[in-house]
Amino acid sequence: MNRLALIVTLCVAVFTVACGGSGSVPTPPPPTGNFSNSSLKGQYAFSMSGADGVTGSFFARVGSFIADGNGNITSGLEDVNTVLNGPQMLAFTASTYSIQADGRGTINLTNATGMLSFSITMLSPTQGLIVETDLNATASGTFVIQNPNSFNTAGISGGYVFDFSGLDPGGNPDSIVGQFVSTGSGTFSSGLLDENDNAQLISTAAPFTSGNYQIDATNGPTFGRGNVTFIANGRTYNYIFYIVNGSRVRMMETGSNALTVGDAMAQSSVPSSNTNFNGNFAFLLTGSGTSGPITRIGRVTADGNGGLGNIAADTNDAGTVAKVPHGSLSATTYAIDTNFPGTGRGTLTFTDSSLGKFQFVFYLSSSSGGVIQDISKNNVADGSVQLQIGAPFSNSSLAGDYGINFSGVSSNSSTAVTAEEDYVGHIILSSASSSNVTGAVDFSEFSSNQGVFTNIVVSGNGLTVGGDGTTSTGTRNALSLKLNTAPTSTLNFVPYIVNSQTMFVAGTDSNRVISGTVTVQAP
Amino acid sequence: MAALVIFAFAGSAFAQRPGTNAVAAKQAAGTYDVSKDVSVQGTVVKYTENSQTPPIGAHVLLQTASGNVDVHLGDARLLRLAKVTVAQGTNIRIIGQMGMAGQNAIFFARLVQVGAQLVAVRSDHGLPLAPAGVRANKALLANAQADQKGGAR
Repeated sequence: MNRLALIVTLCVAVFTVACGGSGSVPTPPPPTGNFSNSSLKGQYAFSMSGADGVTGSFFARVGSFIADGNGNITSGLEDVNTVLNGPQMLAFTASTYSIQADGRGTINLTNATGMLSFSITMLSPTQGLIVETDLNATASGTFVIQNPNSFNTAGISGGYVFDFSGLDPGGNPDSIVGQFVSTGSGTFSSGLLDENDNAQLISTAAPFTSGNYQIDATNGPTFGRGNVTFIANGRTYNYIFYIVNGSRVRMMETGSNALTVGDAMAQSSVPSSNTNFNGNFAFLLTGSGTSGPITRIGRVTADGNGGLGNIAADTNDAGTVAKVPHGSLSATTYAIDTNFPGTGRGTLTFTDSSLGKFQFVFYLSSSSGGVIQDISKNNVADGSVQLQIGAPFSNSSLAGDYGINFSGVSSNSSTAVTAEEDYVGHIILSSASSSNVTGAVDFSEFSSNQGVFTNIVVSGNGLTVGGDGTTSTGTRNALSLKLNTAPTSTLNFVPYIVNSQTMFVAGTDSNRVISGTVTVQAP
Repeated sequence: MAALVIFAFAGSAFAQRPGTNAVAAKQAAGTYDVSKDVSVQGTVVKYTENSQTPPIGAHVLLQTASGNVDVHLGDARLLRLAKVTVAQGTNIRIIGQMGMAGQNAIFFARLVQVGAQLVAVRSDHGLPLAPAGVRANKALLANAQADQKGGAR
């Protein structure tokens, strides 16, 4: 089906629903808050990935845009890579954006292919959440303010951890995590990676045999664009990048038929032994397993001596939800890899007598966290591990304004379609113990006839904090968001609170596998 | 997830879960070993592209000589791309293996054969395949043909 036909089909479907007496949809109250068009001012690097609207296949885009603080995008550039069309670099011409008081808004970016439409939620003037909502595709990601002073070779200097996920050349799920050290002069002095390709651990702690990068002579000084090549385990990896600042680089694979995307984050004070890695850690991973899409969310306590305690986790395997521990736990260990000191590499393992062995490899950017990859049998997944601090948590301590972003797959009983969905919005959590959420959200739901939903009121039971909120005793938190569409639907999550600013959340419904973050806004 | 895409789904809950006697060895949850693949053949009792019973994705309830089997096919779009129709009453052959989805025994299909058409819906490592465009689909076809030459496992 070509794109036009798809859009026509969706329009017909919308019309059909509208005439079907499915009920009215309430509109959100006037937004309140301290955001405005002036909150988006400067140059921002974005990265997002999702599903193409025509083929349903994975795609990614990274790039940079300049906002004038007055509703205009004055220029920009992106690299977009689809399985069907391969990589393309496209410039943005004069475009527009709009920000509401609650931080929600829209960005419309125009390039040679037409106009791309996005819904966004500002977390602060320096960063925000973004979802593509133009029916051509659906994707989730973030945008972060750039420092143009770093748009040079020396802008990438020192140690970085990275987490790239996507598809291998055969269309199979692929996850690559690792670490590199940049000389700041166009080469990597060292590097190390673990690759889980199609549930095969094809590289385990594979050292780079070479690595170099170049700033794009034309677009580097303006947008921070460049390209990087490295070789590990005999495999060559090619990426384009956009420098955010000296601490962050956004990268997308190109030129090798594979398509992975992710960020590299600077390292500092990386634990070099088990003793240096201790405390409470929350983690969130997404990917694929035998049943289909999967999420892994949880928390552990690292004792500083290679042991793990207070393990709790929740899994969703294509709609089958389980809690860890489900049976009894054993072999609860972690190890900082002393064979590669300074890389931040480590492993984390626990076995549930009912659910099997959970195995992960991680690379720490600091003693506070890093990136993590699932290396359990038949899984390909990756994500983030972060120090859990600030407990105890309560509805009172967590009350405030949040930006939300969820992404995953849903199954729609009325359309017989399962497809990607992406949510972005703003919620207010009150200090009440129940019915404590209000807000609004935009989302793409390609399993539905309508496809895109905007300005949907969020209500419902909201956040339930269990115990001290850490889940260290096994008592779960819960997050329930009612979407006031017609008919209404409810998203149920298990949240793992990272700190007073951030929660990891994973869906617990059987008809969808989604996950994301709930992050405090700071206008 | 930024989303590793994945799939279609099946089924309105079947009136009854299939028995597990149709296929031998039951895999532990989360494991798939291609060397343990088996072939089952039977008649389609019910095909559901988008099941509400996990795992999400296309399911087919297959009547075999040993009983009914709930088969998870993964992403229905792969079948559509290959122009394969899984209609009630059709005789089909599935290569894959039994596993668990929660408390339910499921046959995880890796290859689906309808008539002379053979479609790969899972990788050799048990992961459901996603529609990934012309390049990947050509690779899938090549893999499927190679597997077929090797005979049923």
